Amino acid sequence: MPRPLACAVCIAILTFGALAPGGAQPSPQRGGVMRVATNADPPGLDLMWQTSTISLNISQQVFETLLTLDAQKRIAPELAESYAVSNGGKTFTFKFRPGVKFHNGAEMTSADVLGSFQRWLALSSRARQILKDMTSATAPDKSTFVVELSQPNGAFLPALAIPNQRMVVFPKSVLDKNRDSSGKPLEVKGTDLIGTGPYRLAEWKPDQYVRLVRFAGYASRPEPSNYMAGARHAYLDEIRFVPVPDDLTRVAGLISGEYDLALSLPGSAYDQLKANPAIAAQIVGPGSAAVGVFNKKRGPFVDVQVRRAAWLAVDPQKVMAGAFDNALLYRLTPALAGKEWGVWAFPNVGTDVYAHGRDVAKARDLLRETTYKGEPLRWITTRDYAYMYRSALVASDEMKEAGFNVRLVVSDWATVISDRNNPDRYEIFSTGIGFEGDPTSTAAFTPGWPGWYDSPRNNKNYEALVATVEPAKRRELAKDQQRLFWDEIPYLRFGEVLTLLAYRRSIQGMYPDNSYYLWNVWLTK
Amino acid sequence: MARYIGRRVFGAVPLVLIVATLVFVLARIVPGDPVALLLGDQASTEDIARIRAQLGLDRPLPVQYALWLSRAVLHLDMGQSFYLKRSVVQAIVQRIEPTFLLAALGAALAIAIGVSLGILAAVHRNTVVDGAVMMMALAGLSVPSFLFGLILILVFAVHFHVFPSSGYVPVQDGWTATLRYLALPAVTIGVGGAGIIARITRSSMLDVLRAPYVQTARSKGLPGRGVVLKHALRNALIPTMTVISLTIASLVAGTLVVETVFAIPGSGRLVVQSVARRDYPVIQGAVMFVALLYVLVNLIMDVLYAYLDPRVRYD
Repeated sequence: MPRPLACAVCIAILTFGALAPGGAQPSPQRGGVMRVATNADPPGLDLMWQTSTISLNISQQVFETLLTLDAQKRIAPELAESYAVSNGGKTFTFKFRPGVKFHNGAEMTSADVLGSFQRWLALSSRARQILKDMTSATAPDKSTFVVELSQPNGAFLPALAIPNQRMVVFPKSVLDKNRDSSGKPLEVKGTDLIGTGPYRLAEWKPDQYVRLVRFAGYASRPEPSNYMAGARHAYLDEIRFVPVPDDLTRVAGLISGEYDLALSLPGSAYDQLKANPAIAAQIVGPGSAAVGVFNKKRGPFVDVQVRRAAWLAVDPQKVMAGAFDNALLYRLTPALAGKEWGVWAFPNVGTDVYAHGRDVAKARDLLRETTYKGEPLRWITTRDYAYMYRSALVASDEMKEAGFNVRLVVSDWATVISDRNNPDRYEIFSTGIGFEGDPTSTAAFTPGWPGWYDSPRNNKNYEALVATVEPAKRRELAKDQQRLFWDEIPYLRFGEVLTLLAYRRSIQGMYPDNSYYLWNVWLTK
Repeated sequence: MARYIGRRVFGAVPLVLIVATLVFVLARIVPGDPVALLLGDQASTEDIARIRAQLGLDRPLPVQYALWLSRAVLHLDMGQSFYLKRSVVQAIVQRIEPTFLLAALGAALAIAIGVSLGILAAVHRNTVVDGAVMMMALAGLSVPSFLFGLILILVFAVHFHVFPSSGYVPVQDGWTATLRYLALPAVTIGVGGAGIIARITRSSMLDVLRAPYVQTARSKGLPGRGVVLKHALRNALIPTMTVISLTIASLVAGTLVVETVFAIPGSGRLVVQSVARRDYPVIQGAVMFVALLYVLVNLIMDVLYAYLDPRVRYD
């Protein structure tokens, strides 16, 4: 039986679920073990080292950083008690909350923060790019950390607050221990994974489970909980993340009650999970965009006219409808940031291009004016993420009608993620690109990321976003970034892919988001 | 016999070396970068290059091969997993228990069901029983294990809540729990093996039942059950043994799929995930482990031939 048909049959059959009536939301309770089925084992839990989603979903329960985001996606203090920007946006002073302890019992001091900050700079090319004007980073006393720059900087605070490759704080002793002979940082592993978060790592058996337990010495913030900001309560005794690689087995495990929560569920399971009264299922954002990224270093797509012709050749609505069985699972929008990102979401900028409508004749005419003469174009994609393959299939067919000689090269994700670093191996590659919390944080807008978007206009705008401190001005620059995007089309951005969030109704306090914040969550069973 | 076993073990050395070389070359010529996967989707080309250098992956392939082989041969060190934060030997050893138990239970089920059904079909040849048994055997052979596994999960885990849908509990935490977690996966791989064993047992049993010495035993007035189980079965099992050895080997291969479907942290899943992650040291170590296992199973089967068939002698 072909695999898609087999999967469809199984999904249909799996609707025989174990049912239990849901109840009214009770007040928080302490105790219990939450079992979470994950799609993969994390490659590591050191968030400065890894940028994978599964690492983030586990590690963010264990590690904390200086700043975070609230529900309106505004910057809010986390380990910092306060922070101040002075000297025209060139000096940043952080004061820490007293009494914050690491999981090994040691009190967090500015030496730990300084050490973690230096490690972050060494490991994150994005951090280095944003802080290239840094003149000093010092810890003048036990609870103060100061960063001085030679130029005003509006991207530094967001970079500390956003989830991706965040500057989590490790004990300095751990950082000193995890260096190679030349002093370069090594990945932090095993018992050295010591943070300040509400849960601590108790045990990690690769490919079997990651076990987190409540950190009894956790120092919560006093403010009310507000998304990632505010008070964090570790209600659960234990959280156990169990890798269950097969999508349908995760769905079955959730229905049977073996798992309280399952991550990365296939969107096709939405209807059956929604129909099960024992399970809370909803589609949540913010999403990442389904895209085909052009190779802008070599080949025909270096020419912006060829990229514009490609965009005219495709119909984003048809591509997304082809990629997903259920229209609830995607959004059609020109916004680079989903509406959940609040001040950064601009649904009306670029609409003229995004919603222009497919125009094959115009695309063909535009293409004729370029130097592209029907050379073969390789679109590298993967079936490991069904939407990537399906969107590439529909879009490449549409592009062929306009005169593009596109051929899909299908392989596993490991090959795509490797080949996309080599400009000689492709003209387009499939991936998902999400907004990461600030216009400067999306790797696809930096020249060093595969696809190599190295446009002078974009670079200038990016530099301005980094150098501008005033929020209203940054917002205007972000709008310019989006306008520029729809003018230069660095990649085909078909639409926003949303996430199926599903968990047993025994779980309470879950925040509807595509990331999983398990503090403030409790079990009623 | 001892000399024969010694010769076979010595003969396996070049075979294992060839396997080691092949798997090293195959793992490296397959496109894909373990570091790009390790660092995640947002990692820049610069970050990836830095970690590749740290792991020694930027060195020429012959240098990497020489280093790996010398460590493996001289120090029995298969290297460190890029992903699992431990040595390859540790990673493999930790996963032997679930795979061994799963394969053993699956093989026991396959042999018990397959031989019994094969005898039943042969004794009742060309009857409804024969037809039904052969149809079941064909079904067992034909249904893909991932689909059969999911159907078992649906029925016994989701609907009846008799067995867990996935996971594994080590033996040290209690045999009962281990068996509960292994029941559905063992049935999944056992049924496929039972199908082929039943067909071969039936066929060889029919040949033996027609043999003159069986006719003689019957004409002496020996009871039918005694003739079948005491006189015919031992000879009928000789061709079946060959199939059983191949089936056990294929059961080990079957764990690749079944361990993934049932989320069992065994060697099969380790291989699948290591290939997906391009975790070269683990791929190399695991394939060599499986190659050694095949050599061992074949050797044991050859020794068993000598035990079952007095005509077979190796000295």
